[in-house]
Amino acid sequence: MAGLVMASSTWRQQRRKMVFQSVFSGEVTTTATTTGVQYPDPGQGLRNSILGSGGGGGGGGGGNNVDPYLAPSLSSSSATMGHATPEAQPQHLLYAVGNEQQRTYDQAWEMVTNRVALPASATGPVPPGAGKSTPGLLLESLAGAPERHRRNRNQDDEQFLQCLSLLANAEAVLPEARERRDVIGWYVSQVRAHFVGWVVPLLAGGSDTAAAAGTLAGSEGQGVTHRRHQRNKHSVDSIAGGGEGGREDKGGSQYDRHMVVVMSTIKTLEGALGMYFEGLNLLLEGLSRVSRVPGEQDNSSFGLRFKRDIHALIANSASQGGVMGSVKVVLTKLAGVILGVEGLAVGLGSERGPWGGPPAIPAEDDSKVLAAKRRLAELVKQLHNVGLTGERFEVLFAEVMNNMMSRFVKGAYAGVWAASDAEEGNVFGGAGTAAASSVFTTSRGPGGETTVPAATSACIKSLKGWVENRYAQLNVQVLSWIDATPMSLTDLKTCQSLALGRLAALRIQELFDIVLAWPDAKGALEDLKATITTTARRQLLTANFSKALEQRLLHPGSSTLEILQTYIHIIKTFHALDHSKVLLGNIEPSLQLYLVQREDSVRVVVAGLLASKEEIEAATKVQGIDDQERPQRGAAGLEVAGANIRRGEIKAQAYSTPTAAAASSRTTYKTPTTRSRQRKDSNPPTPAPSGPAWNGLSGIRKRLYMARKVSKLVELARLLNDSASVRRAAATAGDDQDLDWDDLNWVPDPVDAGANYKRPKSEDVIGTLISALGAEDVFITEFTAVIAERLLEDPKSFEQELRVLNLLKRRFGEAALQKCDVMIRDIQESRKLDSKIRRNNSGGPQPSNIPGQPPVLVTPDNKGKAVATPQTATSEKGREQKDLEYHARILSRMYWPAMEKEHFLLPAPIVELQKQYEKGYEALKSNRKLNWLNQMGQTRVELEFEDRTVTVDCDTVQATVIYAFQSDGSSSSVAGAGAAAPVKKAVDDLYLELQLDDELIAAACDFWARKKVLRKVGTADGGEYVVVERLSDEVAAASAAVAAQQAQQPAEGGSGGGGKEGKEKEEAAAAAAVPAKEEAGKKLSNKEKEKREVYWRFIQGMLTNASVSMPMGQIAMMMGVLVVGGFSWSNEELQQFLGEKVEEGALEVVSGGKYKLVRK
Amino acid sequence: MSYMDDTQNSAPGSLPASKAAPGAATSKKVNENATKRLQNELMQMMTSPAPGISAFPSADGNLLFWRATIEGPEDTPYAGLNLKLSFEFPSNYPYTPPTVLFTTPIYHPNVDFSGRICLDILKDKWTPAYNTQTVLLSLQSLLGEPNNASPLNGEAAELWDKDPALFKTKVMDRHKDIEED
Repeated sequence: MAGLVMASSTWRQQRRKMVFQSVFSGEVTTTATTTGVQYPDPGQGLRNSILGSGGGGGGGGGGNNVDPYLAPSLSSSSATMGHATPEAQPQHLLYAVGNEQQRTYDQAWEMVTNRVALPASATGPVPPGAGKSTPGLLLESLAGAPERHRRNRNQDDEQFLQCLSLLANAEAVLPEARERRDVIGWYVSQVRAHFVGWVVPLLAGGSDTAAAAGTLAGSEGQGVTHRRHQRNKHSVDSIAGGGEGGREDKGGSQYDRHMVVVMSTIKTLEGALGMYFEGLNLLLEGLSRVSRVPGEQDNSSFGLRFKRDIHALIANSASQGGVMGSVKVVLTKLAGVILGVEGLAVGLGSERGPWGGPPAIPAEDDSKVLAAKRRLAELVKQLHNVGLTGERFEVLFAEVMNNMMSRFVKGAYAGVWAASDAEEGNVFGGAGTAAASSVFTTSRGPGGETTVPAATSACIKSLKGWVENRYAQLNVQVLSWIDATPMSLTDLKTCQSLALGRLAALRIQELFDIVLAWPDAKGALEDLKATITTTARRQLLTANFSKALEQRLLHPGSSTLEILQTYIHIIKTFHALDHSKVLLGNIEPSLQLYLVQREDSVRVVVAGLLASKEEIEAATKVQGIDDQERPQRGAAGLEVAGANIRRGEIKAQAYSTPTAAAASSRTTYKTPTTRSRQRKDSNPPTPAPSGPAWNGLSGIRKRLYMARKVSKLVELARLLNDSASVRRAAATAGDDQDLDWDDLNWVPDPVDAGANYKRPKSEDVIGTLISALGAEDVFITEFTAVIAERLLEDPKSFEQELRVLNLLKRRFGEAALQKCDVMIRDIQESRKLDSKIRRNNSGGPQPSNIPGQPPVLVTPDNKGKAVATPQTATSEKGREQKDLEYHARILSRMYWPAMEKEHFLLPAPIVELQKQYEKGYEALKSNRKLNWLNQMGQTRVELEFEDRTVTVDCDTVQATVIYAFQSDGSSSSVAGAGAAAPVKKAVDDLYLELQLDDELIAAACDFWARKKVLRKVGTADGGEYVVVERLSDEVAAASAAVAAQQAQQPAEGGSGGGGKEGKEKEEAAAAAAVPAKEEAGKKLSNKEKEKREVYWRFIQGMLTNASVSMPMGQIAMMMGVLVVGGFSWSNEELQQFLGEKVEEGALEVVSGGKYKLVRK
Repeated sequence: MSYMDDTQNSAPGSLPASKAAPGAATSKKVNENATKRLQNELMQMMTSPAPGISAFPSADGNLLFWRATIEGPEDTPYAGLNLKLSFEFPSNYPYTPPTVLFTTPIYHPNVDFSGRICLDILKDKWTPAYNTQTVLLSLQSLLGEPNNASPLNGEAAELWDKDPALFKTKVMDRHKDIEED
């Protein structure tokens, strides 16, 4: 944009300079010189003197023009000027004394000059100030002056002719009269002086009036001088004001005011000119009549010259006042009406909403338009008559038209992005606007990509039509009125391409919004596609877009999901815009760089690829809602709200899908890892290269992740489903040949393509995204982790996974994704094995009647995960026999992401089942051993209370914890003979009982507390919980405890919780997240504990063997060298750790700050 | 022509040089393998330590030279004693065994007075499957069960069976805590 403006403004400056120079014939001065009077008049001896003093005599428009002919009268009478007055005459006579002929000459001179003298004195001196306030009055006086003159003239006609002939023939008749003067020259200077003295102040006064009007006459009390000082500024202001649509109310009256100024100026000038020409004609007529040397002067050509000069004079002085400013305002207004620009809201699409149609442009034959046209014609002709249509006017007009074009493009097309309808676009004709507005219907195109570069969009067509039918027409008309060079066809083309350039600039500005609106803004893309034809514009586009991207997207406020979604839109948009992808390539780097910094971007992409059909549908629904809401909502809020809705829906679905209507309990647990045969070393599993996100599958993180997962990049899955086959075909067919010979829409590579540029075959969103996310091993690792998680949780079918897997295999190769193959096979194998084992164990396919099974249960669950499910029945009545169903999933340890084993004691019945399962497995696979990962399972728990039964799906830790309440409960209730005292346990007791990490116990208790199964009753020993046997108890206690409880909740949003409650809970959890984190910081995670342990052994070994005592720095250095995988502590942490050990008495500090083991 | 000759003459000279370079690289690589293996051994020893033994690279950070400590096992004459050893690993470790010496003076049938040890796994029975930890564990058990069939210290071998009390005295006499630094 800047480039265009610059270019046009420099052009304009140069042009103005040229005009200026032509007007001033090279003499550029700032004073209101009267150089125009330099008419060539050979043989007139006085010319030099006129010039000589005239050159410096133009007194800046203030009316104090000094002229050799006037000087005497000015000095003696300030009230009369501009003509030879009787008072002035004696002075002439003074030096004419003693020369009869000279006297005769002088008398004749006096006679003639009196006759043609300009009439300012006849109306009496009018103070300039009066003229300012009432220009109309003064006009009349000026216009009336010639009348009065004429009356006198009739009487003196004879005499005048005589005198004139005397003067004209002075050389022959009065040879003695040496003081001879040129009557024409005198008259010209008279005119000039009169113009400067009387008309210029009027013009200036007029513009002052306009300026004052523009500022609402706020400066009434101020002096004239002051106002003049401000004049230029004011007129600029008022012009600007006239150009803004926003000040419509004021703009109207402003236009009127400026119109008045212009009209009064025109009248003034017309009057003055009439006067001047009358005098001149009189002189010329007389001269021609009395001339004895016919043909000496060509009167008509002299008249023309005079006219030209006086016009130059006028144009010159008008430019100096604000008249041209007023003319500009008036022109702007009229042209605006004629071109239909007036009334278009000027603003960006974002303000008006992207879907507003363009305001209707008044038709060409609209009465207003016609009226404006007539008015303009009149005005321009009048201006032309008074000489105000010089080069300066042309420049002014060009400026106005330039603004018109900008305003029209902006006003009519900003935010009009609808796709064109191919057939409709052609009909732009005489009734252009009608066709144009129908083209603007928001009908979406068929979505097919118009790849033909020549295809033009509706906007372009209507714009071209507008330029041709309205814009150029107006230009031609105006130029013909002022006799300027008419517009050629080339000029029209130039205009059209200029207009398209403006449109391109507009679209480039809007591009980010267009991208967000994909695919609804295809029309705008077509505009852009057809207009970004130059390298400069392409660069402008990428530069602008990159900037917008950084400002609007790549900041911490937008989620990775949002960024990726936008990225997908960008890919599609730019592909539609530019098949070569060069533009995309230019804007991508910053985006990719930013995405790589987001650690979760790979996960979002993978999760998106793996989104299920249900999720896609849900997201589509949400998107429908989004679309409806979009008008009211800023684009920024869109994803967030969408995610909330989506979450709700999906939760509802998730709870309806588990089929087990009759199943009393169900699910669960953990996955034994089979050891591969060759591996017999006793090393603990070396950490697999899993992403950081994966480490704690058991923890809070996973739950958070699951909660968030519902807002996925489902677009990716959709793309994968839609186009997989298509793309595959394209990929196989096109890989080895560079050109598609059948492509009729082929265009050469863009000029800004790089040297190694290779034309991409398709938009390939997924491929682009994956390659954007950096290293392939990172992607594969993340993919493995996500796949593992999904396989463990929803194993019904792997269709989606397999499809994504195949896609990735094509990209990364089989070998890289072998792990995933194994994982999927594991799960499939597990199912077979699972049913086999159960059959073997039970002697039948139905596990229901296992003898000796205690009141524990696992239900059938075709979900196949291995594990035990405790069912807890807290009331004794609930101890009916129930069957437990137990499923396991068997994973090949080497191929799955590392999963930490969490130690805790399962409920006895489950342990029993595990053992049986193990036996069954080992019977089938003799060389292998199962290694249970107890914390990974899922459980369905049915709880029976005195007043209710609760069925909950939960993880195994939670199930184990609640089971602990049962077993205790049963014993106590037996003892208590049905007293049913609710079971009460402290976290610390549970810790001993279950050998489970107390944090996990606390988390599980909180989980049950939220389900109103447990209630927290004390904070001693990390918290005490009691079973809520009757809900009524809970209600009473709850109110007191709620606040405390909620504050205690660790951040574990949404893993349970029915629909409505869920949301509140999540919010509470979010609020509690911070304290929870701090707590976690104090209590060390298992991992951290283990790390400290290992490091401590390092230090012990070091101080035992390497050196008896060492300074901290050396310890740190050696740790850095020796710890495999890197020493992760900072010096401060190490210092603190050593300090702790010193406190414990395991270390001592000896001389030199060295540490030494305390010898026991 | 002389120019050509120069070129030809220089070619044979450069050949050995270029052969030497890969040789150097190979040995360096072996060295790297050794240190890497040792680093892993150390890590393993730290994550799953065995009671009564410890080992660590020397303070100068040279991974090929370790010091180790064995606590004398209970029910042996060495109970309560800390015995220091040094390990020197060859650059092609683990394909050849480390050189292990007792740095603490010790009275033992299979250890001579300069600390050299007679143990088959440190000689001909060495395999790369052994590591520092297994060597230390073997030595620890050697303390309680000397191989008196092939003694380095005949007197000690004799006394072990004949006069445990005297043996114990000799052990305590011989023992001297060494304090480095």
